Amino acid sequence: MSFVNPWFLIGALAAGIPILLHLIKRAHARRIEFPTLAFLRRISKKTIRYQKLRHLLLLLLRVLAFLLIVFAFMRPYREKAAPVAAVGKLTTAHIIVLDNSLSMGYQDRWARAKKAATDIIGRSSPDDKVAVLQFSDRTVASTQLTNDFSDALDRIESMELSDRSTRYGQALRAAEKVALDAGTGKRIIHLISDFQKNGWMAEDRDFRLSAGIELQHVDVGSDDFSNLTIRDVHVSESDQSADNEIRIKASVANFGNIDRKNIQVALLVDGRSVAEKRVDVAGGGSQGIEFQLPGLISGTHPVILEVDDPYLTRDNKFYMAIEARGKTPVLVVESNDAGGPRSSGFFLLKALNVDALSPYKLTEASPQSLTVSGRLIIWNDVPGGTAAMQKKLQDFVKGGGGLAVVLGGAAQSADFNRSFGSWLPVRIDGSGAPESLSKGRSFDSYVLMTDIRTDHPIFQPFSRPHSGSFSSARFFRHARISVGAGAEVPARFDNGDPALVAIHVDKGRVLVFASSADDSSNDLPLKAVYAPFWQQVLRYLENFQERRHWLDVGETMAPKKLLLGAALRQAKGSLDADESVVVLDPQKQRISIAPGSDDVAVDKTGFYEIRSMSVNSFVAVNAAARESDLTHGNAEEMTAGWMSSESSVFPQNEHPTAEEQDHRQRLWALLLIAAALFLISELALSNHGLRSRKEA
Amino acid sequence: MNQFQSVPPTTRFLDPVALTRIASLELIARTVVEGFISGLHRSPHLGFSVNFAEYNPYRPGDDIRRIDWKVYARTDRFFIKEYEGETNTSIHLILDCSRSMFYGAHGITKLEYGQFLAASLGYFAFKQRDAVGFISYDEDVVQYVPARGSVGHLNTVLHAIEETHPGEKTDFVKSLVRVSERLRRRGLVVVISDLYDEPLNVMNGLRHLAFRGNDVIVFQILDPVELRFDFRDAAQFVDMETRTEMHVIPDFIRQEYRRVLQNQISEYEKECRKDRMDFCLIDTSQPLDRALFSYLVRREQLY
Repeated sequence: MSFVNPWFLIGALAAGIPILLHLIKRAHARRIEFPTLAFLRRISKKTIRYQKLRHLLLLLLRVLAFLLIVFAFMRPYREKAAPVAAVGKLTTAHIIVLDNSLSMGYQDRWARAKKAATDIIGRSSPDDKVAVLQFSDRTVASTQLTNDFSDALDRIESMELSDRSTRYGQALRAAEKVALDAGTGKRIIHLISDFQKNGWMAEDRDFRLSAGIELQHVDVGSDDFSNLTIRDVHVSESDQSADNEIRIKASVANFGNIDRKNIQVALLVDGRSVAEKRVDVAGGGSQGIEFQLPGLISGTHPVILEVDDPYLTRDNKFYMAIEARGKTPVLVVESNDAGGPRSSGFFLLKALNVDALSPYKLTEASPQSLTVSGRLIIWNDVPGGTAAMQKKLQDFVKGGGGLAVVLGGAAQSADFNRSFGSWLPVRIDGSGAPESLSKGRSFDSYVLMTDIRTDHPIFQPFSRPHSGSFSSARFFRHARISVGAGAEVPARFDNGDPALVAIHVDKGRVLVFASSADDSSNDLPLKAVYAPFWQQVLRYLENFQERRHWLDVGETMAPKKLLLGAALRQAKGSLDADESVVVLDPQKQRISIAPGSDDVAVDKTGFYEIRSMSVNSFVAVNAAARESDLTHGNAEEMTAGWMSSESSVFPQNEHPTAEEQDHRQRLWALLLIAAALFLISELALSNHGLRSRKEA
Repeated sequence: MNQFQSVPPTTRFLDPVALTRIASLELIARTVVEGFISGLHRSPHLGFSVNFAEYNPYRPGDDIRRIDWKVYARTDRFFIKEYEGETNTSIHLILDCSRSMFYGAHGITKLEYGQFLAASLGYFAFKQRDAVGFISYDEDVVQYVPARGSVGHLNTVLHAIEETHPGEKTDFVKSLVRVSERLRRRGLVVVISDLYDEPLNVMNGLRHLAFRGNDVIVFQILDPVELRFDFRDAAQFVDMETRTEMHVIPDFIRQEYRRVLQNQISEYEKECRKDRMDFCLIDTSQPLDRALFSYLVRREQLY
C-alpha cells in the first residue's frame, strides 16, 4: 500500500486540535462560586457516565471521519509487485533541461548551471541514460537519451548563452516528450534555471507533466539582483529643424531594489561615441533620457545606446539602424512655352519643395534637355516625345524608377497613344486635347473625384474621417482614358472615367493622372489635400516603406527584401533575382539561408549584415525587454505547479495506464463513503443531544 | 398562581435590579408598597379596619349596612362610615442570611432580594397597622427584633434588615426552633430563604413554627441561574457554604440538575401544603409585588 499524496498526512495532525483544545480548556477552567453543590452531587453517576460516553462517541466519530477524509486525500493505492526478473534491468532517464536565456548571464549563474548539470551526470549510475536540452524561448536537444556520459558532458561544456528570452512551458513539453520516449523505468526531468518569473507565460499555466515523470529543479537565481537596461526607445525625426535632426527618446530601467546613481548612458553612432549622459535611477523605477543625433549624412547608420551596468552586461546595449534619408530628387518635366503667367509645375514645386516638411526636392526640366536619371520623374503635361525618349523612360521604369504622367490641357490623344500608349496599357479616347466641360468656368459643369479606393497605398492616409476630402475639388477638364489589362484604377471621377491609373512595369511604377497638376483644369491645387496627395503619389512611385529601426531576438528578417529596399533608397537600381546574398550575424559568422526561403531568424543582439555584390544593408537586433527583468519566482511553487499530482507515484518500473491507475486508487472512494457515514452518524447523535437540550 | 398574571403595569417600577440603585431601604419599601397599592385602587381587600375615619355621601352600589342611620336621622341624608385599619396581628419576618444567599448572577443577590422583600412586607404590614418583627439567621439566630406596632418601630425593623450581612452555613432546624421559642404571640410568620439544607431539616424547622399556631408563608428565593443552570463551559464549581469543589461540565448534567432541583421544589410545595403552610417560589428576576400578592392573599384569609 502506497500513497499518491503522502504529504496530506500532515493534515491528520489537525485531528488532534479538538482534543488539544479540550485539554487546554480543562487546564484553564474558571472557578465558579455556586450556592450549593448538593444537587450536583445528587445527580446520578450513571447519567454523567452516559453523557461522557455520548460525547466521547461524538469526538471519536469526528476524529475518525476527519482521519478517513485525510486518508482518502492521500489517495492510497495498491502497489503491483514488480516482476523479479525485470528489477535488475531498471534504469533511470535523466533529462537535463538547461536554461541558456539571456538572464542566465547574470553574474555566475551560467557557470553554476553548467556545473549543476555536470553534477547530475556525475551522480548517475552507469545504467542510467542522460539527455541534455537547452532552452530559452526555443528548446534545442543537445543530446538524445544516451549512455555516453562523456559526450553529454562535452555538449554541456560547449553550450553557450543565448540572447533569447525564457519560456518554460515549451521547454518542459519538449522534455516530457523525451521522457515519454524513454520507455520503462524512472524518468526525472532536471530543470536548471534562474526561475525568472517572466518565463512562465499565461498560456502555459494549465500545463502539467504526465504521470510518472518526476521533476527536480536546480535554482541558480536569487531574490537579490540589480540590472539596468535601455527600454521604451522611440526614434523621431524632427519636423522643425532644417537639417533633419533625429531625436532618440528612451528610458533607463532599473530592475531590482538598489538605487543606482550617476549611471553613464552613451550614444554611439557608426561605432563612435557622440554623446554621453548620466542619470540616477531609483530601484524598481526608470528614468527617461533623450539624445539628439547630429546631422547625419544620407544613408543608414548603426546607432547604439549603451548603459554602463556591470551586473548583466548582455542587455546593456540597445541597437538601432537609423536612416538619414536626405531629399529624394524628383525631375518635373514640363514645356518651356506654357505661355501662362506661371509654369504648369508651379503648384507642384510650391507644394513639394518645402524644406522641413518634404522629403523630396523637385527640379524642372524640359523634354529637350532631359537626362533620365534619379528615381522619380513627373511628366507634366508635355508630349510624349520621340520613340528614343520613350525607350529611355521605359528602361528607367523597368529599372525601378517611378514615373507620373500628368494629362493636362496640352495632352493630345494621338500623341499619348503613340508614345506612352505603346508600352503602357492606357489610352486616351477621342481625338485632340481634352475638352473643357464648362466654358469660362461657369462652375456649373464639372466632375468630382469621388470614387476613391481608400485601400490603395496612395489614398490610405485619407481613409479616416476628417483626414482630407477630395470631393470638394472640381475638375473642369480631364482626359477620358481607358485602361487595359495590368492597370488598376485607384480613383475615378463621378462620371466613371478613370482619374488615376497605376501600372507596375517590371520593378518600377507608373501613375497616369487624367487632369492637370495646376489649376488650369481643376481647382485641386487650391485644396488642402493637394500637397499630401502628391507626396503620397511620389512615395508610391518610389515604393517607399517605413523601415523598422530594430528587430527583437526571435523575429525573422527577409534579407533580399531588405536589400531591394536599400538598393531603391540608394538609387542603385534593383537587385538581380539570382544575385547571391550573404548574411553575417553580430559575431561576423555567416548564416546560411535555407533554399527557397527568404527568411532568416535573428537570435543574437547586435547588427546583422546583409551583403550582395551591388548593395549592402544591416539590421539591428535587440533582446526582448521582459528578459531584463530578473524578478525571481518561487522555484518550489513553480515546479509543484508543473508536476502532475501523480508524477512521483510510479517511480520504479511501471507506467500503468490511466485505467489501471484508477483501479488501483479506487480505495479512496470507499474511504470517503465511510467518512460520510461517520459524519452522518455524528450529525444524528449531536442533533439528538441538541434536541434534548432544547427541550430541557 | 393565575391571580399574579393580572398584576397591573405599575409593576415595572418594582424591578428588583432597579431597586438596588436606591440606597434607603425605607424608600425602597415605600416605593414598592405604594406602587403596589396604586395598582390596587379597585381592590376589594381594603376596608377591614375598625377605627372610624370619616363620612362619605352614599352612592348607589355602596353596602347599605355601612349607612350611619343616626346621621340620617339628624340630617335626612345617607352617609357611609369609613374606617382606618387597626389589627392585633403580628408579622414576623424571618430572613435567611447564610452564605448561599449571597449568590446573585444578574445584578442582585438573593440576600438583597430577601432584604427588599422583607422591608416591603414590613412596610406594607405597618400600613395595615400590624405589629412587625424581624429575625435573621444562618447557623443560629443572628438578629431578633420583636414585633411591635408602634410608629417608630418600623425604623427599627428596617434598620435591622439593612444591617443583615451574609453569614456562614445554614442550620435550619436549630435556627427556626430558636425562633419559634421566642415567638410568644401567634401571628403570621414569613420565612424568606433559599431553603438550602437537608429537606428534612427544612421541613422540621418550618413545622416548629407552624405547630405553635403561626400562619407560615415560605418564600423560596432562587437566582434564575440556579434554576436554569445555563452555564456553557466546563468549570470548577465551589460550594459557597462548605467551600468544597467539583469539576462540572454543564452540558453533561444540566438536564439532570434541573430535574433534581424541580423535584426538591415540588417536594417542598407538597409538604408545605400538607402542613397548611403557603409556599411560594420566587426567582430574583421577578418583581417584588408577586410576593406582596402572596402575602396579601394569606393575610386576607386570616381575617
